[in-house]
Amino acid sequence: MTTLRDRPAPAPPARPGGAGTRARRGAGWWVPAGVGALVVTVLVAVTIGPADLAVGDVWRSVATHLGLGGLLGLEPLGALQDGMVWQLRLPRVLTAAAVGAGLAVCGVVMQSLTRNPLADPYLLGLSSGASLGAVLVLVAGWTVLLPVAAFGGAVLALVAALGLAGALGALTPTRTVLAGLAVSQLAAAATSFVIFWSATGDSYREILSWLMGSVAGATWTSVAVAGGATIVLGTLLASTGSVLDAFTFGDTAASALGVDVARVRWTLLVGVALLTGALVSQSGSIGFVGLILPHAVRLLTGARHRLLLPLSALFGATFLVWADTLARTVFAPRELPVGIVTAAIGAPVFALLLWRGRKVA
Amino acid sequence: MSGTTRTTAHVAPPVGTDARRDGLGDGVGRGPSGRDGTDGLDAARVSWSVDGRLVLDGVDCTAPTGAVSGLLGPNGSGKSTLLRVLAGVRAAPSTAPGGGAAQVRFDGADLLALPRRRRARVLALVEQDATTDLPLSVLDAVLLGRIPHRSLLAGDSAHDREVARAALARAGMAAFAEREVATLSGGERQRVHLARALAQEPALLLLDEPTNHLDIAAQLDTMRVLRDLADDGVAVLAALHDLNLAAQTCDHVVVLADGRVVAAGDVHEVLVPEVLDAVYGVRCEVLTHPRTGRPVLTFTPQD
Repeated sequence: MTTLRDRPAPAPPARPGGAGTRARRGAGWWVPAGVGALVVTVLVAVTIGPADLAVGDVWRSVATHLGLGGLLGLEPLGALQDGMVWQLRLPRVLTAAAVGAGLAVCGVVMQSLTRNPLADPYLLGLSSGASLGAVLVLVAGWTVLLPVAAFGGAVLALVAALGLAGALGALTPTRTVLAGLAVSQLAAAATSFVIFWSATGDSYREILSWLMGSVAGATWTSVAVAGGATIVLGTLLASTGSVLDAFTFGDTAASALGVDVARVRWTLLVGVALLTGALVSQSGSIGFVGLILPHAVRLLTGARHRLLLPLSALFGATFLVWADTLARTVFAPRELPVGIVTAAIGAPVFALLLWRGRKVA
Repeated sequence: MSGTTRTTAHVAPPVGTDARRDGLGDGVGRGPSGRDGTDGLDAARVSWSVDGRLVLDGVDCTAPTGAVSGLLGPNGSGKSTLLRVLAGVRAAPSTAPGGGAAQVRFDGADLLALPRRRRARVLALVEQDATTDLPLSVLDAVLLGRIPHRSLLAGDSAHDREVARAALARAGMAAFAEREVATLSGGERQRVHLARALAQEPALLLLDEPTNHLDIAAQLDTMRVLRDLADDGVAVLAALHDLNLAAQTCDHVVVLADGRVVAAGDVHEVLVPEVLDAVYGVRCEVLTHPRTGRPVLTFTPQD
């Protein structure tokens, strides 16, 4: 079948030499560029904040903790300033990066598996379900179970949303999002109720941070949970690029390419729920990152997942770090929940996607 | 293709057995018979029902290696379902009431018992109207056909791209490699799907209405590609709507009606008024093509 006979072709011949497609041309540069952008973002974002810290002092603190102090001959920073950098800002920036990367990967996987351009953990209710699970165990005092409960909430929300949409008929994008909205609203209401019921302190702030998302309270534990989950699960999900590619023309085409459609779909969706649960347990439900980042990256690189997945992760991380930096600085000393910033950017993009997809919805 | 397709022209000698060796690999159950009557697809007693409705009722269907076989029948007669069941993308066929066990064999091997990925290296399916809204180039779409041939963790190899470009050239779409699938016309997209199936290097090619959306020249072109493939040792089975196209281009046809085989065999024996009048509810007259000697069908309403 690799044969090719000389026969007249109706169309002019291809460009010789195997020139890459738009997607492939320069593809080798995207990932290094994404890594570079993320590193610079982290280094710059930790220097931005209300406290009067010089850029050099911030980096000095970070370098000292990384054990580079002696090597570079740096003086350690004062304890107060050092704590501000090492205990507050850096964990917050790194948590934002991990959550952004993880949510973007979740968005890519969900959009491809469901062939739904509107799919993301937030719109389909996974994030709200995870928030509810997290809040329930926090109120009960079983803090150890936090990620597990968030995962359970995410899975239940996923099953409920897809089950509800499926019971209504074919899983069209709009129907799935409507079902996700119903699940999401119910879970959000239940979350608010549980927090009010058990109110011990500033319940408004707490409700907001779960429903709109926030990394304000991030610690090194948050970095470990969100970062660990993103690295382990994100890498596993990102390694399924070929399988996700096979879904491009639908389930039948995927099956004809040798993919066990049902098994792959459920395995990967459970992986997405796990990762969403771990992220939400640390940051609350942050919207629109998983929705808009994959679309933006597809515009740059095309739809092949081998590049789309890692780049979405890198750009998702960069995006959320900047969104959080805006959230904590624009109205300083007041802080916005980061979800307000992502929604302000994401909602118009969502509207645009709805408009573009009006034929298929 | 013209002389400039040097990226692909050298790929492999035009030997039919090549595709077949790629296909079933170490000769899974292929008899030592070579090209005798058991070569190619041999499906027997295939039944399939959905919601209690029997869509396929004990269908026997063959598609010999080296031949272009046509699957004919009115809308809703079960052509698409049969192709999907044969391709293993629908649940396994059920046993017909009162019949023996269904079987789908290719060169003697039980096709539906093969692992999925292995099966996807033996057979390829070209669906009707599969589309995507994603920004995907034509070449990338064709490269999807290489997925069954490589490790799931690997990217496209140079060989994969070579095969994909050869497949594109063969489908007459070499000039479209860099275009986005979403910007193509229905007919162009249909050819991309054909190229994607060719990139799978199948020994059995199943096609559902491959000439839909195509103008007459493109229809004949597509059928000529299928003929070339058959000459290279591929078994081709295509569901076709146009009886005259089938009459001019197929070696062997199977006529379905209401999920049952009404007639099967050589076009001269099957495309006759005794069969077609009842199946389509029309009045059919058969002429003979002055040059090809093949049947030419004309239709008038039944009184």
